[in-house]
Amino acid sequence: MDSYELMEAKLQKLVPASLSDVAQCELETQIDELTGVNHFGSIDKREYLKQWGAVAALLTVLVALSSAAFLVDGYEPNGQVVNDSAFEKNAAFTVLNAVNRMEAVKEDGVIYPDDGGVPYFRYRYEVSNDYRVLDEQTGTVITVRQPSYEVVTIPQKVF
Amino acid sequence: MDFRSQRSLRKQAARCSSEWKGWIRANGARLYSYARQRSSNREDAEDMVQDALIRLWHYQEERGNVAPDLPLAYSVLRFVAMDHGRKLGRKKRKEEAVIYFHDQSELWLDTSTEDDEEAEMLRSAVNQLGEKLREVVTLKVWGALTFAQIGESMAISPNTAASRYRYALEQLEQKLETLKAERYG
Repeated sequence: MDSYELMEAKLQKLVPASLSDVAQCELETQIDELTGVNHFGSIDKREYLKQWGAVAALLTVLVALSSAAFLVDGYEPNGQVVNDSAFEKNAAFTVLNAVNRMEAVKEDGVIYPDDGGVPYFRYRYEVSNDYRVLDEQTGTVITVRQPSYEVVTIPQKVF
Repeated sequence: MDFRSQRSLRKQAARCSSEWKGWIRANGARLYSYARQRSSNREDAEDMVQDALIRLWHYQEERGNVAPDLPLAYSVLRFVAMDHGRKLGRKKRKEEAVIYFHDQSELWLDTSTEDDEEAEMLRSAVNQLGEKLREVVTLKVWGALTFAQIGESMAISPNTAASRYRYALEQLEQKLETLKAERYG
């Protein structure tokens, strides 16, 4: 081992001081703020079910309205008399497909509020929520397309 | 925002956060060691590392938010250290009556249990090296960089980095001999 390697070996035995635990925690907290991971929080499953409930209600209304047209006109394709109980039978349907498509993303950059509040990054998402459901009673496939426009803001720590 | 979109974004943020946290756990000590060599106390060094992390994040935003490589991290940390030094200089000029104590005692891990006098003398010798030589030694021995990466980080050629490193080792050997002679006669 030459003198350089000897000196290197001696240096490698020295251990420089490291970050304190407090500093390490602060860095990890900083990372969470930068990534915005705490911004989204936990999603309430009831909100999710509410959305499906709203879609189900909408579809039921649509189906009911289309069935009501038969009653008003007195028309029934197969010639049978339609009675009120047909509404309950037509209320059952199966979800075939549910797709959320991100149509576009726009980054607005850092926004400095006029009221002097904390600045934030703003992203705008154009989302299209498509649902296809099957009415098992009649074989009707219904597609519901619901466009929405979502804004995400990520607060920035000011230095 | 509906459930699915929010869940997707949340997963993305969590993945990014996890990657960067893993990176800082693996490299935080090295970055701190480098920053500490260029600052007068622990608090300033830790502030510099945090400042560098934020700058690296914003720089990597245009590159898919992937964790940065080490040479880039050291480069950014060097600029942060220079900025910090400039601010400190301005502050000192405004506060001439204040005495700043440069605490060198916690540059290294607790050594009270070590009996090796040579290690103590070697630490002293490293602290006395010139800035450019000490920087190369820090990056090579404790910074996990190759000469090519050191060159990239310090904006010098790999050959210059290697030359400085060899010269630094020679200086350390001479200083060590001198300290031993002074202590033991």
